[in-house]
Amino acid sequence: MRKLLLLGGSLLALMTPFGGPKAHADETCNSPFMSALIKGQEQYLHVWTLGEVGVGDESDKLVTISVDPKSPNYGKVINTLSVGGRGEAHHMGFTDDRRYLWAGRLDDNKIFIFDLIDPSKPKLVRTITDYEAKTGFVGPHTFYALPGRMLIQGLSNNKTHDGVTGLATYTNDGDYVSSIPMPTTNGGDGYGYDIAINPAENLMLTSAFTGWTNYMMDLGKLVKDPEAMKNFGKTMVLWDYKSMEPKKIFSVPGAPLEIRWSLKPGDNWGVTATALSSKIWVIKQDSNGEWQAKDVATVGDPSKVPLPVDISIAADGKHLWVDTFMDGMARLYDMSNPEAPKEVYTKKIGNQVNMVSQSYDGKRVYFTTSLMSNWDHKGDQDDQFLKAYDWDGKQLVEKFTVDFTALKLGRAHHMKFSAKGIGG
Amino acid sequence: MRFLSRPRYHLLVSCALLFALVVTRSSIAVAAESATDSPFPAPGTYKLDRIQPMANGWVLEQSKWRPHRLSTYTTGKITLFSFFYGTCRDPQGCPATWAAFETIQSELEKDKELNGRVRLLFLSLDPSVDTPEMLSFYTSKSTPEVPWHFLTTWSDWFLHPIMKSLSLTTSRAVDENGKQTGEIYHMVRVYLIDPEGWVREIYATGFFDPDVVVNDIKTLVLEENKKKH
Repeated sequence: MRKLLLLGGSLLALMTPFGGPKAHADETCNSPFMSALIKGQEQYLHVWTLGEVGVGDESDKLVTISVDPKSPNYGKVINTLSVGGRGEAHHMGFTDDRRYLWAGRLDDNKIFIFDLIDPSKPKLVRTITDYEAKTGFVGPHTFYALPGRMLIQGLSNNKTHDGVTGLATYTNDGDYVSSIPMPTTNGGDGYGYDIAINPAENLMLTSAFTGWTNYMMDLGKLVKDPEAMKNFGKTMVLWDYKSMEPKKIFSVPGAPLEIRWSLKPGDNWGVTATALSSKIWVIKQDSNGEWQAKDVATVGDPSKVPLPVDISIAADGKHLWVDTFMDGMARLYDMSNPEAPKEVYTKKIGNQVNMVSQSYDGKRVYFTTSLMSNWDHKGDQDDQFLKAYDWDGKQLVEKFTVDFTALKLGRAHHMKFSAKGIGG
Repeated sequence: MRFLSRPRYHLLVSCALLFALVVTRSSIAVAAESATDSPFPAPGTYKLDRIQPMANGWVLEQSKWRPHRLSTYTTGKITLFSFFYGTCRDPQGCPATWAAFETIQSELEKDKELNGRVRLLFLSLDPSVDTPEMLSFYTSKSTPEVPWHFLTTWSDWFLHPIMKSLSLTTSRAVDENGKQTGEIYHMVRVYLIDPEGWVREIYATGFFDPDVVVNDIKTLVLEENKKKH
C-alpha cells in the first residue's frame, strides 16, 4: 500500500464550542476531501425540501431542525429558508471546508450556495444559473467536494433529455471551471448519478440513473412505458481520478445509484444498490488485482420492485442501511463479508422512504420520504416527514418525527448534518 | 505593526528554529517513501484545469518598508504556494506542509530540467508575529535551483483579501478566559500555479503526495515546453 502524507486541517475539527474534539457525522457519505467530519453529536439537520402546490409558501426550501438532545428545541424546525419557485430540489453537498452547502434542482438546473457560518441560520449567498448553458448538462445531482472546488454529476442533457450527461467542476465561489462527458464508448452508456472517490488509490466511481424525460414523468405512467423503461443506466465507471479518464466500465444493470467506499482502514471496496433490479453490488479487486463489479445480494423481492434507493454505510464498513422506497422499509445488511451481505434487520419507516443518514458513530439514523415530486406515492400514501431514531445495535428506537405536511413545509428529501464551530 | 519585547522576540526565534528542526526531521520520513507502486498517471499524460486566477495583493519579504505585488511571486515560473504561520504546532498542519515542500524541493533539485523553473512560496497567516524580520530566519531554505520565499503582509487588512479570493477562512483559538492563544484554525490547502498565474491544482486536507505534486509540476513544464516549440 502506498504511503501518503496526510495534510490536516485537524484544528478545524476541534473548532467546537464544547472544547473537546468533536471531530468528524452521514457523515460516512461525505467526500474524503472534506476537512471536518462530525464524529460526535450532530446539532442541526438540514433538509432540502421540495415545494408543493397548495402547501405553505409552495417554494423549495432548506429546512433546519435541531437534533441535539440537549437543545430545548430538540426535534423542532428552527429555521426555513425558501429559495423561490419549484425546480425539483434534490441533493446537497458541502464544500471541502464545510463552510458552504450546495443544493441543486433537477428541473430548472439552479444551484443554491448556503453559507453555514451560523448553521442554525443558513444564509443563501449565491445562486448558480449557468450550469446548463456552460455544460449542456441538465439535472445537477451530486455535489462532491474536491480541494478548493466542487465536482457536480449531472443526470441528463439539454438536447435529448435522456440520461447521457457529464461531470462539471466549479470553484468554491461558484464559477465554472470545466466539464467532462460520461463515456459512451467501450460499453459506456453515458449516464450518471453519484460520485465516490478513493484518493489513496487515485480512483473514482460513478453510477448511472436516468434522464430528465424519465425523472420528470409520473412514475405510474413511466413504468407502463416499455420504451421509457429502457432508458435507465446500466453501468458504473471506474475513473483515474487524477486524469479524469475512464479506466474500466462495469456492466451493472438496473440503475446503480448511491456509491460508498468502505471507510474501514485496510478495506478497499465500494458498494452500490440498483433501483430497478433490486441488487447490492460490490466493486472490489479480484485475486489478480483487477477491479470487478459483483452482484452480491438481492434486496427484498425484486418481482415486487421494492426500489432500493438510498444507502448509508457504517464508518467501520460492517453495516449498510438500504432504504426501499415503494414499501417504506429500512433494511440493515451485515457487510462483514462484503461479497456475501446478510440482511439482519428490517423496519417499516412509513408508506414510503427515500433517504437515510446515520451519524458517524452509527448511533443515530434519520429518514426522509420524498424521492421525486412525480414519483412519490399519491393521496394518503404520500407520507412526508423526517423521522429520527436511535440505533441500539438491535433495533431502531424512534426519537421524534417532523411532519412536513402538517407543518406545510413540502416534500422532505436530502439531509446533511452540521454543528457550530465545525467548518469554515 | 507592533514591536516585540526582547524575551518574546527570543522565544519566537527559538520557536522558528524548533519549527525548522521539527519539519526537517519529518521530511526525512516522507522522503524515504517509495513511489514504485504509484497508481497515479505519468507526467504529461493528463491535463490540469485552469481553475482560477491566483489571488493578488501587497506582500512583504525581508523589509517592511518595501512592498511587492504578490503576482511578482506567482508568475513567470511555476509556483507551489501555501499559507502558513511560524508558530503553528499542529503536526498535520503547517509542519506537515513544510515537510512536503522540503521533499518536493529536494526532488526538484535532482532534476536539472526543473532547476530554475519552479519556486516555493509561503505566505503567513499571522502578520503581527511573522514579520519580515522573523521570516528572514527561514531564508536558508531557499536554494538557487528551487527558491523558497517566505512572505508576510503589513496586517490582516492586507492579508484577508488574498485569503478571500482563495476562499480560505481562519479563526483564532481562545482559552477558557476568552484570551487568544496564538493558534490559528485554518484549513491546509496547497496551490500549484502556472507561470501565467493560473491556479492549476489544489491539494488539501485529504492525501497530499509529494510525488504527485512533482508529477503535476512536470506536466506543467511539458505544457510550457510545448508552447515554446
